[in-house]
Amino acid sequence: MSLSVVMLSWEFPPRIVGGLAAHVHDLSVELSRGGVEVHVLTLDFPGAAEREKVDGVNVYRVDSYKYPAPDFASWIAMMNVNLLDYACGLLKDVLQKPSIVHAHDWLVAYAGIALKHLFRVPLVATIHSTEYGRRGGIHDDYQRMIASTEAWLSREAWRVICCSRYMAEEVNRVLGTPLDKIDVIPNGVYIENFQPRSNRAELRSRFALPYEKLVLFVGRLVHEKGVHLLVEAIPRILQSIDAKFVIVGEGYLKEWVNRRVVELGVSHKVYVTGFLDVETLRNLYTVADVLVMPSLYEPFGIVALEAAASRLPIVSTCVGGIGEIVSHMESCVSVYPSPDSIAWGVVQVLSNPGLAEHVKNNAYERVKNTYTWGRIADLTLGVYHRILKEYRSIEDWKPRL
Amino acid sequence: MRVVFLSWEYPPRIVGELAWLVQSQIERLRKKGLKIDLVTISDAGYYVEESAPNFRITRITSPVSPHSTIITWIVSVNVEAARVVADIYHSESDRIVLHTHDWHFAPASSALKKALNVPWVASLYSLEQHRSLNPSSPLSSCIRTIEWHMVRECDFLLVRDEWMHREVMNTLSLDREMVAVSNPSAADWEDRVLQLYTALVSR
Repeated sequence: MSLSVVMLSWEFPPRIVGGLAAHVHDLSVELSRGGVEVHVLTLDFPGAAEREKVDGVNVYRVDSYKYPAPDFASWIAMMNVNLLDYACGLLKDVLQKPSIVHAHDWLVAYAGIALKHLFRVPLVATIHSTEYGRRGGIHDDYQRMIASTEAWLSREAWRVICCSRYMAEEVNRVLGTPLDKIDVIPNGVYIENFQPRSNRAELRSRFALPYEKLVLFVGRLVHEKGVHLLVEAIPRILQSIDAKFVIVGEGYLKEWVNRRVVELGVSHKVYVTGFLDVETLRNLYTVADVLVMPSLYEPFGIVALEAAASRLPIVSTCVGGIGEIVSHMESCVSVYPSPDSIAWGVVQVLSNPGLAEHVKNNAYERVKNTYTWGRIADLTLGVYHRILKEYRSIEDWKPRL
Repeated sequence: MRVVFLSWEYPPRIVGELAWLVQSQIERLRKKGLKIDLVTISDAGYYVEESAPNFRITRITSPVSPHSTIITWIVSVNVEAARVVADIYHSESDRIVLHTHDWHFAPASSALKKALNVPWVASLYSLEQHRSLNPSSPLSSCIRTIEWHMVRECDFLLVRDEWMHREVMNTLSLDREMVAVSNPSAADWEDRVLQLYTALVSR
């Protein structure tokens, strides 16, 4: 019997907000290659077709501004109303009953839970991060509401998927989801996308002089990514090593970063690029000398996979999921979340070619063998089959009435 | 045939006039022998009351707490309503008609109609345009848009009087025939509504 999945995600390329878009895209494509009929319901994006087939995956884009809303959470709720309406029409007219509904994060909780009950199909939820983790605790009613929505989604899901053991423990602790209801399936990377290109010298020359080392940061410019720690470490690194620092990403700390590098007198050594196109970013990984991941909270750490796939040495605080991908002096240099420690780690890698070679080769081998999307799709398919076996063995849906 | 009433108020949850209007309509339809399920909101958790023959009340509550606006609250309550009505649909052999009262359960009803092919009658007693002190505020605009979609998605719209009929046609720019003036205090109200339900389930 063929398996069909309705995948709900508020982002899918070309609509990219964070790492979710790439995750849902790659997982969907790989599941589709494995014979699963995948239907992704997501939000519209200027210039993107309402319906199209992307690498074997059926993609449907729903009007995200059909309802005006007073604030972000209300917009999310009303976007779900529209997503649900669209899905109901689609499921009834085109797809009939899917085997599984798979919701990614609280942003699609309302639609996912309603579809589960309307069509009586099992719901799988991937919790990529929690409000508690993103905010470093729950501090007001707005955050409490989002955390409560995450808990509701986890309760309603037949099984919950987390991308690391760290996240599984957080979901267990913060949302009260039993550990035996959670499957840990990591993110993946297409290693072939991160191989050196022919115009490396030209690209490198755009960012650094030949005698300068190139230090790379990739991530949202927000507190949890620790970019502020790297910025404070820059003068200390420059005392030992001549380098350029390329900071890729957007976020509310961007203005602070631009101001602070001037205050520290290092603005001539720093590029704050904003978002970069995928091609340029992948090439940057292959020409840089070290990647710094000074995160304070990291549910998984996909940037570490991308760096490892590019054979780029990693200096990281190894918090959360990163510590499950790489380990100190074996496949990365682990540092404390302080400017001094980060500076020490970067100088270690840049002044010791043997160490850089050792950690980058080990990280590459680990990623090549463990974090392939084919393997991850197989693990996800295993979760689906387990759920369907349990679902088919129950006599009734067990309504609460 | 079984009619599922969806109303955000019903005694003892009394916000305004709607609680009494819905209660009176249910009593008159029950006297005609109609099976009725009422899905309404409780501030004291989920529970089911079956205190009278052919009449069951399911009081639902938001699975999320707290809320930042009425919008997140009502959408989460709508998901619960969809769950409860889907359970009624799957566990009862009767044909089902949905009957909503004002805008609050429009999102669930629209989804239920599309997913389960159940007909939907919407009664409209007032409009956000009239209730709100600032109808162009983001919150009221959201509610007005819900009303705008509701009057287009439902199978039949009932209004109380000619004035409301004109208001709906003008304010919500409605251009369709499935609107009727049906005053719940009229002597033959239940007969006319029963005829409507019967016509909709036998389509």
